[in-house]
Amino acid sequence: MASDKQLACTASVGERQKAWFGELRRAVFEERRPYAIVNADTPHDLFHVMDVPVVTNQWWAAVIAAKRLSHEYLDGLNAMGFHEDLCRYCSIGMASSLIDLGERTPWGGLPQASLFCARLTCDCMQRVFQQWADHMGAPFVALEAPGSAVLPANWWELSRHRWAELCEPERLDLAVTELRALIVELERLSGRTWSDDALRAFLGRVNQQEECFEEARTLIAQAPRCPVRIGEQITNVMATQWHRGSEWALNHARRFRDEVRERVQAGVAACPGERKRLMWIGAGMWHDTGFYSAFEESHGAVFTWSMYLPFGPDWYIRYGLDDPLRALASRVVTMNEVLHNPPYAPAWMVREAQANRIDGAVVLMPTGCRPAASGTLFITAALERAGIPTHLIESDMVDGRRWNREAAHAGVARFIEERLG
Amino acid sequence: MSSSRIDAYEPLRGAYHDRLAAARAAHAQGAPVIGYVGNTVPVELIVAAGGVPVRIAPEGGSTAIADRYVETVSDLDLRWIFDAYCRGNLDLLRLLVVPRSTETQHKLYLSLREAQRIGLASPADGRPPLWLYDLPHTQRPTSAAYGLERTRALWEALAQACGTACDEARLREAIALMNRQRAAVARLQALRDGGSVSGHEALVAIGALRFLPPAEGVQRLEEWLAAGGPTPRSDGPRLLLRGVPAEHDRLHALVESLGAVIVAEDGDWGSREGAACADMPEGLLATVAHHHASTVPCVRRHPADDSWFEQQLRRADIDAVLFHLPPPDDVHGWSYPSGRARAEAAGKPSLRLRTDTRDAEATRPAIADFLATLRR
Repeated sequence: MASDKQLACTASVGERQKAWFGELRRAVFEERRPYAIVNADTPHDLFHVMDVPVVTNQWWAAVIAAKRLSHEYLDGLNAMGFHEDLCRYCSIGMASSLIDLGERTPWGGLPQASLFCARLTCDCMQRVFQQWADHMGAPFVALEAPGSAVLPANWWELSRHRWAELCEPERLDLAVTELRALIVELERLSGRTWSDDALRAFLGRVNQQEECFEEARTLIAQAPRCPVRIGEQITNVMATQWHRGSEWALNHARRFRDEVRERVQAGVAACPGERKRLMWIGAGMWHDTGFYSAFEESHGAVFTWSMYLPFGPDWYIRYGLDDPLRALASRVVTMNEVLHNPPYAPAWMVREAQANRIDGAVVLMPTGCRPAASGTLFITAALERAGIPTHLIESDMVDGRRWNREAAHAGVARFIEERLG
Repeated sequence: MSSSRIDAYEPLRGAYHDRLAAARAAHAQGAPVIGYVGNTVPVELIVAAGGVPVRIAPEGGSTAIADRYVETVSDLDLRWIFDAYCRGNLDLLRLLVVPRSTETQHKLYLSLREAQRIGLASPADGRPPLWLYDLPHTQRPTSAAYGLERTRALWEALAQACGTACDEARLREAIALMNRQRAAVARLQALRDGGSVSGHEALVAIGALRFLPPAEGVQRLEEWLAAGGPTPRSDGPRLLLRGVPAEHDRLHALVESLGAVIVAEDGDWGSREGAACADMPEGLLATVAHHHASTVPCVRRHPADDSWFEQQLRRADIDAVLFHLPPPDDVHGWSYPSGRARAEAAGKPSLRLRTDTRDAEATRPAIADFLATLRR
């Protein structure tokens, strides 16, 4: 993230993450504590309720990228025979287990996992996770990613109270069945007994956490000038997301909201010379997060919006928890599609652009991840129709080997100058 | 090829290369034509409903519309289909069935629905309605049960589209017809396995079955087999093809021009189309659902089943393996290192092809050099 952290709460996050991971390694090595490696769109909530720690595949990928080690792992995969066009974001974690970088291994590396879990979204997922699980000698629990013909464009109007209408009931039925099977695995792993009441309470805390972020996103959207760069938004939000429902996460969400409020009330701007408001569309570009703040000084252009902060409130909050597992299933079963694909993503991006008074959108075309790339042109078309100019950048989320920062910077600069006036 | 062989082969070759011709003819006669994408849609159900099935698998086409809405990193056939749909080139279809059996297919469905939503391709303008066939390929009872219900829903949708009803007797006949077709493909494969015959012609003939009405298709294939089937070839390296399914015949033609022959294909098109649809005790619908969820090749099958590949590697008559991984592959390449290792363990040299094999000139040098190593 940008080297000059403006929020006090941001500084605490990095150290907390590292300390947490160090404690995890200690617990695994010394106490043989089981933990799971899971994809971002799996129901972490079940793991948290059963006190099975999780390492999120994409979080670990971002750690590797931030430490500038992506190229070594990816070159290593290529040398093993995995060709260069294969997905990097969801496989670099596996690479870190297959390839030993010795003392340069981030934070000592991933310890032996006891379980792997992923939704079968894209066609490569079972191949990556099965090989990874086989390498560690752990089981892999695959969750279906069924398709839906019910495609509500204005999904955010349904997600909190009318979540059962987000997709077909049979899709939810299948998801609930699979979550129950996963619970059986977690009971075996943890020695604990499942409780729907515990999940209900947990989801209630997740709601509270996301309600804090709801306040924060509204404050940021309505402030005369953006009070918090997206780099710091992402750092604070995602740290709590991976530990959602915990006391720490709820407290941190409150702390972040409070600090944002203070900054807005004091009229503090992330970029005092703000002249243009940009939105970053797509996943984070973890190998060069400084890019987000690269246009402030030259152009007064500040990235005020990324999906990470507003997606939590709009997608994660579930009211009406009489059947907490079904409510959770409704969040899990369509999550990936909502973030990237039509009609969900284009409609939401336009809404967010208008709510945040966005002047222009910089859109990541993740050429190294086709499932994430798919739908991008529908998003740009929708924004342009809504009067929001767009500019495409081609880059992978974690693979900076082909990243030409100078050319990308020049492209965005031209975009700001020529299309945003 | 003898004249009788040529005469019998020509309708198959013609259908393979003019993939909508038979469908257009059926449409002109008022028959309900049902289009489908991929190899996991049960053609039996279309036939039972009284529809004329046609696989939508363009060999080429425009991407002018697709270029504005579908990323160039997407599979080319997705972009061709999207473009054709938006242009009205698929308006002859009563219904277009898109399975959720690959990521590409799923994204095609979502893209077409979005095209409808934003007015780019409106059903009011004659664009055919879409049906998502959400068949899971995870091999466990809960997924099978879900898939069975989705198969039932598909059958009902097909019957409605064709103006008929779901009739078990007609389904039984349709399964028998498709198994007769599969048996003919198996006999063709036996010729390939037992001697040196043209794999190119075999691929084309098998592929043609997807573009002809099934009864006509099996009749054409059986007539060609009776006339001798694929042309004999002089002995040369015998290759197994694995990886991205070849939606075209140019790779097979190129290999044969270089004096070798592809004798079997691990994928959608070719050899594995001869696998019979075995009866399930749960009934006809379960039989059809199980076959398409578990037996036909599918990248989303989990756990993966490499038994067919392993069986082919044990064949003494197969000299080498071609791993077909053209851009923009991002799936089959994950299996390449283990596949290569298994081929090596079986004593089979292998070649990884990463060019677009539609481009024979770009592909020729790598194959020629590889074949030269086999001949030493």
